[in-house]
Amino acid sequence: MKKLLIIPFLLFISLSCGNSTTSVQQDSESSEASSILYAKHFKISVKEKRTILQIMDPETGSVQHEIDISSFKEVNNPKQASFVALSSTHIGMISKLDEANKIVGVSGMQYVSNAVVKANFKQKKVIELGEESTIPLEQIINSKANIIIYSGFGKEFPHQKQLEKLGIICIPNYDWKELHPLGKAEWIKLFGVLLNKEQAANDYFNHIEKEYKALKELAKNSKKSDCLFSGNVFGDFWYTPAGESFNAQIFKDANCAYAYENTKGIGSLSLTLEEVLQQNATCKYWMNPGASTLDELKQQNPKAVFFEAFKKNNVYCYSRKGNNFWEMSAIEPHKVLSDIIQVTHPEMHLEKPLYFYSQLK
Amino acid sequence: MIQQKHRILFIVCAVLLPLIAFWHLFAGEIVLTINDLAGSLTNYDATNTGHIIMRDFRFPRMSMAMLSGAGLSVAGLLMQNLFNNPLAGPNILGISTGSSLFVALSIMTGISIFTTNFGILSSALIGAIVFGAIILFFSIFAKSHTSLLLIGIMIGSFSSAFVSIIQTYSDAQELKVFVMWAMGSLQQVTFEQLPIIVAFLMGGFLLCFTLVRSLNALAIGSDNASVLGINVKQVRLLIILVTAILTGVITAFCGPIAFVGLAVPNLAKILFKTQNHLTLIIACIFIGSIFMLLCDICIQLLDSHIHLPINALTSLIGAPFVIFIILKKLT
Repeated sequence: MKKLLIIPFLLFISLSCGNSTTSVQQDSESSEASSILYAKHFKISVKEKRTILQIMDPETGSVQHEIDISSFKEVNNPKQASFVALSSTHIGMISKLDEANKIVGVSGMQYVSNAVVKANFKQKKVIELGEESTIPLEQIINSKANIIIYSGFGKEFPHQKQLEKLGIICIPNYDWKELHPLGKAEWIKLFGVLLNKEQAANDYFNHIEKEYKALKELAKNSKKSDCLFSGNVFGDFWYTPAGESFNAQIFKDANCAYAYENTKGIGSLSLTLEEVLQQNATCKYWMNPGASTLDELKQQNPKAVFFEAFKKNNVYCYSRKGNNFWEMSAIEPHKVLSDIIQVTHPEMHLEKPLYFYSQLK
Repeated sequence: MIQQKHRILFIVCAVLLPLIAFWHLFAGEIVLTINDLAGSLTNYDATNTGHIIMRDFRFPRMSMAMLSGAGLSVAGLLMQNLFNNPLAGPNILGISTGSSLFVALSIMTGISIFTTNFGILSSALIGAIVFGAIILFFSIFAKSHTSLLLIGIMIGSFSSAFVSIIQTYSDAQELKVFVMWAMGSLQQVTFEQLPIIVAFLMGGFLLCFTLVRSLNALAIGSDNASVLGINVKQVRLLIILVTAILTGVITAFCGPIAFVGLAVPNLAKILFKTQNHLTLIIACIFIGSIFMLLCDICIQLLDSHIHLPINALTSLIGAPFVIFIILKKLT
């Protein structure tokens, strides 16, 4: 009797295995069009000769959007992309592929540093659309954009369905959710596909990957830096990158003794001012306070004067080129890493001028 | 004159206040000792973290909690007297919002003088005076207390809308400074700024005490006050001036703090059951200080579980209390 019961069970198992193989076979019908090495939140694959962009939900990892972008890749007469780029990093990536002219809409001109976009705005070829959540539908249609790249804070873009009916693709860009600096930079491959410049995007990415890894190796072979802390007070709390966050990863790659490197979490830690002072009063370096001068920092945080790093003028921020950091740092992580290494490892004598960062004066 | 039962209440407050202030000094997450307190007062060592936290973090924070509580409560009491309305207060009638608007204008104009302490202080003061005068002007035409409150709320909304527009067009750095200021905090005041704040507030309180007779007369109606020989117009202007000084200085250094100016004077009236403004002013100073100290102690005790901005906590406590007052009045 027992044997009789085992037979259907084995049959079930074998059928189950058969199904999973089919599923794998089905998956193998689609192949990756572009190999994504570090980025976790998008994939580009080819399914039945169609180029499909998959955007993953950063929380669950499951596919959130599947968008057919074949028309931008056709050999003969591909569709010309024309972007509404709602975040600074999108402008940086498009401009890195020498296609800033394809940007026709931005969120706010006060945050743009790209010269081409600024010039086009003056010539009324670029429009300002305001905040993502309150964006005016008719202005988007007027802009003649066919792709909207948005940050995906609200998962779905306002009026997405109506826009799609008009042939305007809405693509959430979760580069800001990537935890590895090269993962964030790898989103350039997405723009490469949309702009039919895949090879250029891949070449550029390979170049920065090589640079980044070389710098990381160099830092690794040096002694660990002196103590470093980051962030600033906002309201009543001090926000600093958690140990598993994107910024902490750069500090780690620069072989820095980051004060909160062993904490859990991928976002920010919120600490009281007293805690931060107690833990970092004598810390040598203060990075990323979000100010461009010591006076400005003192105005934002009058208690800054009690930190040794402030007293000894060892405060550094990404303020050398204004908003340029927000546009270009995602796509030039090797330059960010180089700056941090130069600041925190003077013994390495990199002897390059700081690129994004400057010492607050 | 202060009655006997009020004297007892004042003694209770006078005992409670230093005890709670002392508790406040030691309520933070970092454990400090009496030695840190003594050392920071008598033998301050700028390299000793305990001394720095005690003298430069906790003492200004504790002082600011007391000063802001007392100042806003007295300002609220004056507004309630001026408009003969228990629901009046610097926050409800748009005076705090007026301060915010002028601070927003000054921070986001990009002119460096305005981003100094003096710039923010003067902007907040001017904003409070201008909006105080506007609400006073409308009070001439408002037929009822409710109308005046609604006008105050509308003025508040109007200036908030302006603030939003300014924010839209401001530079990222200026916007950051403004947003940080608008979040409200008792922690940003430094030890060196305290004398300036104390001087302004003491000046405000002293002016207030000189107005006690007029305030008592106004409490029975402006017509009766005139009969008693009070120059009502002059007193109203002085009340607006004092309210603007108290609200403006606190708003400049701590950002807007809601509901204290509305809730505490009513609590004082419930506890002391009097219309004598000498008693009420002293009561507001005591209760306002104690109220803000307790709110800030709660914030510090809850810090490891939940981060609460001071403005949020005062609203959480103040809003239900105001509903209670409205319901009490209706019944």
